Amino acid sequence: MRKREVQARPAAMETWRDPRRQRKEQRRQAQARKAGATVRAAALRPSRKTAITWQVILVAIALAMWIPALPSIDPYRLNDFGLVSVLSPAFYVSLGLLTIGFGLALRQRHMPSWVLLLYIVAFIVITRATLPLAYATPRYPWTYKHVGVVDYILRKGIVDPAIDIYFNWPGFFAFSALFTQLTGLSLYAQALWAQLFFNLLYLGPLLLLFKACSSDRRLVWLALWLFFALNWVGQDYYAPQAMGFFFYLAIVGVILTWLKAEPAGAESSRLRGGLVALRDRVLRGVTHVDGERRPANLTQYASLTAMVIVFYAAIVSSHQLTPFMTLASVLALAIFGYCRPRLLPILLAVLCSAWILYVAYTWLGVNLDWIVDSVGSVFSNAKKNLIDLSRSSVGRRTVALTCRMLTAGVFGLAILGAIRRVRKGYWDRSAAVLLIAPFPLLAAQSYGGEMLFRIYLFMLPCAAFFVAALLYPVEATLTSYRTTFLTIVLSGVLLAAFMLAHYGDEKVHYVSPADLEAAKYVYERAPRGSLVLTGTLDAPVKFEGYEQFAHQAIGDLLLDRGVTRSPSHPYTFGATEMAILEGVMADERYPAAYLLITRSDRETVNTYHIEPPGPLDIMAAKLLQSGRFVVVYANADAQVLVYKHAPAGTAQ
Amino acid sequence: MRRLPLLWPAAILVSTAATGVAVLGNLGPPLRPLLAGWFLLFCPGMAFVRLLRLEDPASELALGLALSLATDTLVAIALLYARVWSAGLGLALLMAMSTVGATLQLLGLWRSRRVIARPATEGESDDAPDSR
Repeated sequence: MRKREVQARPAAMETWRDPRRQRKEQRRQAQARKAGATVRAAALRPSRKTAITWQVILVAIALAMWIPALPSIDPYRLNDFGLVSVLSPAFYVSLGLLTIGFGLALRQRHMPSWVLLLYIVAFIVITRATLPLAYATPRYPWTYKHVGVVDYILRKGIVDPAIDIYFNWPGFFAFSALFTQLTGLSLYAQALWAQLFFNLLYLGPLLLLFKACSSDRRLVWLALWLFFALNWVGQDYYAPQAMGFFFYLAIVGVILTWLKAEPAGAESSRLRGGLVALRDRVLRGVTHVDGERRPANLTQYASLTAMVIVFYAAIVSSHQLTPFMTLASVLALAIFGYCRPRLLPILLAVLCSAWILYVAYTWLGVNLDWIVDSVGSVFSNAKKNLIDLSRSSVGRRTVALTCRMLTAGVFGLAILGAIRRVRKGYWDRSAAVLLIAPFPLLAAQSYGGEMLFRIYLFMLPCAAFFVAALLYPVEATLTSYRTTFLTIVLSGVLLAAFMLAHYGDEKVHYVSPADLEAAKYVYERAPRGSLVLTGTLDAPVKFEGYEQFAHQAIGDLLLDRGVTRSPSHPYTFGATEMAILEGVMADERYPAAYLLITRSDRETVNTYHIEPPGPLDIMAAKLLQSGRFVVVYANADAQVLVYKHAPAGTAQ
Repeated sequence: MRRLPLLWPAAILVSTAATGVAVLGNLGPPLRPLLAGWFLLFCPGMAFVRLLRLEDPASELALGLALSLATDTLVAIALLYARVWSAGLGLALLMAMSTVGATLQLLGLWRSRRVIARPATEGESDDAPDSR
């Protein structure tokens, strides 16, 4: 109807002579164009609707194939390749369908954003909700310590910084305690579903960050997809760092979206002016520089700056490393002129120092020596992150090498992506700064042998952006089939590496209900102040009565008593070791002593430390053969041993 | 799509009241976890983020979620270090913050409508001859 009206109107021949008529004619032409566009859109509508419907059906099929794959997951059949050894083909088909569907959805420029979001949410659900549905217990043995800290807060309503490091940074635990009391959800349920929860949380700030880096929706959504496909380091569980990382993403998202400095300010000093001129000469041909987006008004500016400080305060109260990672990123952005409130890093540094010096001084006083010692030891800190694989099984070696190759490969691909963007005329300065910013922290700490992988986590958002940029370096409305094919292939390869890297140690990460039953047996019967000996420090313990029992790992105990492990037979359990263990378990300072051997601990020792496998079982057999130890509790996975001459009433 | 400016302040006020009832009334699952979870994850943050008028619902939601979690954490930490730990007190503080933020949103809406309404009323007489 509208089209007919537009076409029926005769063209004015003399309009150009009269400005009023000219304007009227321009309006008429604009109206005609709009009407034409509406008609074209209407013509396209059925095919677009069909495409959307097919995409939604594809996601539904992928999810429908995934659900029947869950019962096949038997944690007792896991081998050294991890979860991939027990997954059914239906699982891989569902992931494959999602990957292909996402690649195809990305190339259709009329595909609404909610369809792409649906793909990513489905991907997160499949990769992060599989194990909570397959297991009855939370993953990662060390998660149970976090449960114990929250349990302490719920029981006592205070924190005692003298207990251990967790009680000096209790922000996340206090939040979880409040959440538990108000929602009535159990701590185990929170721990079980935390990975899915945190990954869904990351979506919002990541979208904010990527949208601040590029206006090309294909690049933004592929970067988002790749982030979740590359985040193998496993810091997204029920832990302070998972929440801290969320706030980190929110901080960089806010800064890059609303608090980015104007590039014009860069020429304020002669040195800066010279640097800018040099950069312009080097980057001749660069046409798109990520500059200021969406300038904030004064109220927004002040409020958003205050919000960043609030986010940082939550980080500072929750975790030891994340404040420094965040500070490094904000400082780097401020130095290079991409953070408008220049005093922000100083404010954040004051906040961080105040917490450490005023609140966490108890922990700092005890641990200052080794912190100072590790500062500046870049190579030593880096080396501590890599374990010796020479005596590992093929599966373990494959998993460890995949982790290393994925980490190095992602960084390499990101560099290539950044170079390709520059060559195409796009200079993503702030993303490049954020990619590099976490690296200096390697000089400060080994962080218990985890620093390299923590750095990977914090550089990952921008690395994912640049890897995506390798495929979509320029803004365009059309995507070639070749690019779509490459997107699907690259996603598939990275996803396969992710499954191996993230779930490769599943044998160690799985905690069986029987393990927890054994630990509960001890906590229910042990007198206050008892000693609980475990195979490693990562045993699933401390989830009840955190402060009431002393815990020690056998390896650390032997090391403390001067027993050094020979490289060829690191865990030989002879007379010396037996005497030390007897001495500790008969120590009258403890009202009772228990030796807890769990499946999870056995797997940890076998996987990371020992050859041939089974040293904890060998040790238990030798202890029982001596006749001076007795089993007081045993189930399919775990055993509890006590020393025979322990005080009366302990071995019930 | 026309935005509904009253939606968020109304949702925050209703959620605040409903969470209060669910927690104080000690309601069981699924109502209490759903209401209290929704309140803790969205209400304290959205109450204030909406005052910034960012004009982008996705950004508002992302920031609202982050601000809610940060506020919950800081309230919990304050209760812990002040040695007055009580989930009820924590909830009361968060409810007060959410109510203040939602009320400020409503006040802002009311003011902006008055500002819009005033020139429109004055303009009626100017436009009157044309409309005839």
